[in-house]
Amino acid sequence: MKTFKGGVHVPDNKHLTEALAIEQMPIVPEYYVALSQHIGAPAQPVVKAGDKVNEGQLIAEAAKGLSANIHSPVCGEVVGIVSRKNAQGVLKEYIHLKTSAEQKSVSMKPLSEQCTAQEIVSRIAEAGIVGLGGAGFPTAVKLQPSEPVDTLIINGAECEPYLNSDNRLMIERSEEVVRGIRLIAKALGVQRIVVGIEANKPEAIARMSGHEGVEVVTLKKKYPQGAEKMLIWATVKRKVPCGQLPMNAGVVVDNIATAYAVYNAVVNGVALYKKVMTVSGRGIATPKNIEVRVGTPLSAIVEYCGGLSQDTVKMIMGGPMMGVAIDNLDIALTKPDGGFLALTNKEADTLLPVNCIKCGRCVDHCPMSLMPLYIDFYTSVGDYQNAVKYGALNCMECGVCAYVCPSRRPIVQSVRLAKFKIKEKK
Amino acid sequence: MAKFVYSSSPHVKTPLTTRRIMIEVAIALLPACIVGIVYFGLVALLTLAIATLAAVLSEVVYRLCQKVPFKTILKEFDFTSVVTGLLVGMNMPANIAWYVPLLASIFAIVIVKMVFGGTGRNIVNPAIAGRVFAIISFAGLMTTYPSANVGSLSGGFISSGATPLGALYNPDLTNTLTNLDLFLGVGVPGVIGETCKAALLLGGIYLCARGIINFRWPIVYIAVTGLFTVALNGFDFNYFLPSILSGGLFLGAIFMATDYVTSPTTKLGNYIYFVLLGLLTAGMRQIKGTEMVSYCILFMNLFVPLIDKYIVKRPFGYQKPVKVKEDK
Repeated sequence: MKTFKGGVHVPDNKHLTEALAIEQMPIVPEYYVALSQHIGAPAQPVVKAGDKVNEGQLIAEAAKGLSANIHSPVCGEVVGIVSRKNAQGVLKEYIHLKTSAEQKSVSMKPLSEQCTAQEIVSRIAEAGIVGLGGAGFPTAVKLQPSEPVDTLIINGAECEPYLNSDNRLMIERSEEVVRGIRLIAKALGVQRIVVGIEANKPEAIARMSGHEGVEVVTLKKKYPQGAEKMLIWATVKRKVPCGQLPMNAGVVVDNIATAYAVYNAVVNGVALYKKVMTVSGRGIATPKNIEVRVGTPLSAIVEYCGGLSQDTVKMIMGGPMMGVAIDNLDIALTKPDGGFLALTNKEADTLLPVNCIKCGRCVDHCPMSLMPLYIDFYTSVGDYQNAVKYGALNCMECGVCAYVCPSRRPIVQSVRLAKFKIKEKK
Repeated sequence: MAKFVYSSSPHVKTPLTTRRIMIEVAIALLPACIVGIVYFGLVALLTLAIATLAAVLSEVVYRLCQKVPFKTILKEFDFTSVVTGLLVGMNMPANIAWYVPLLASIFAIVIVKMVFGGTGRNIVNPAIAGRVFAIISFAGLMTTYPSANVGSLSGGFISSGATPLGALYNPDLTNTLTNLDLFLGVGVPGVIGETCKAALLLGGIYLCARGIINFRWPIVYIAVTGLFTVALNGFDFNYFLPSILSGGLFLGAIFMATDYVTSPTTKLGNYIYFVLLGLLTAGMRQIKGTEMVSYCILFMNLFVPLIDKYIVKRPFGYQKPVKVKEDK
């Protein structure tokens, strides 16, 4: 079975939501739609307080350069543009919407699947599609690479424990996902399409196989199998040079959920304002896979899933390996968020760090073959140049080092600090 | 609303902790300790107990002097001092005067470990340093070994002047022990923990099976030592087994040289470290005609920061920087 060097086996806990069909989350009274929910400049609002908007209507348009359109998730009235904290705890601008009693939706003109590559790319830009794997890179920009590309890799690894949103999409909407994948390939003008899926999703592998021109690769279940560089290595045996992008290795990587959003935008003319997410963890009364509108406050999502149990110690936006810990439920959902987890004391590790014993486990397991213990050490003493020497800038923050650390060193935190300080210096 | 933990990713972690690792090492040391007690009698148990208790107590007292609350000390107690204490005890002749293991343990914990900042911050292995401290300070006491002998519980020791290792390098001394004797430790004069290689091997296999140490490194160290000894003695392969089965090589290779803190972190670094260690051990033994494992490990420990400084792994996707020719 194909894989990469390093990494670690993390108990995946996917059984909590693996077999649950995607449910539609009902409309809630209020939405907070972030103006920056992608990499790049925040979108510019095109509505003002008091405006009536329809579901799917453009409410903020992409700024110059790297940015993405944002559409209204619901039919209602704009209350205003407010400052709120996002999952990272940074104050950002949000459009506050109040849902109206009756619902009306607008959509773009559906395109036929015979449309040109340029039409697909401009439709993706129009629909505000961003990478739904977590980073939120505007997809239209990604599909116009500056280097020659010959392969499209679709990331169906979903190596984060607990999460099943991509898995369920592949199982329930495989036809749509495959058509979306073909549209992306057409936009890129590539012939070879590879879908990488981890071996712990046999049903998804079965559903995705047998489509002409789409090669499904079964990958070993190992974290971080879905990390871009690891996935490229495992599927097509190409290395992305340090500090460069996948297109420098002749590939473009997109996520399953992104492919589905592309299908929806091109074939149905529906912009990206709904997404599938997994709500899981033993701190949630009824774990679910739900299709939810962007801008829904987490409190509503948690309430829909039966609330939190008393022994919840940690709430996470995203997966347990790379997600962000949050301290309140006022945070509103953004496009790239694939999951919300409530972990109990038994699941989340809350031990405090002690001295590093140089066991070298982080070095053995680092998929980027860095030396995380020294990055942590030099960052802790403020020597950022040496932190870079041991690989701080090549780190993708997958968290394998901190996962295997018996001393519970906050290595990922150190890496982020080192990156921040280096950037500050420049 | 309840209070939630707010920290950096990842949020789930391996169940393995430093304390767990040290407990595993202590468990792995038990077979050799038990065999030592069987061979040398209850005095051996007493020596081990003094060394271990002294190590643990000196750590606790040191931290109390740092004004750390006793509860915190208990909570943070990671069993490294137990391992250090056991190893110091295992490196003592069974019938040693009581104050030798006591002082060696205190030296190992206070001077070698705690003064440098506690667990993980020591530059050399505390147990090795403790042993070397005792050998230098109490040379006579530390090198008069009783022979291992099943049934010596009453305290009657067979005193033997020549150790098998000494006999190996000195033709004047005769060695009547077979390789099997050396492996099982029966009748071998030596310290408590290193006479029975079988028990040490058992502990080593346990550590490898539990994923605490990599089986590669003790094997590299022992093999290089044996082969280099053979090479130094005119490729006489009769030297191979006696050279690896005598002295403290097994104890040093399995439990001391593999100490995380004082060994390199990369694979290449470890190869360099253990091969050099093997060459050094064989060479020093040849020159001095006596046991040098602990000195060699102590010496090589000092090179570990240097190895980790120059042996840096290349990141995934590393490309050699293209050399741009300067126009003159």
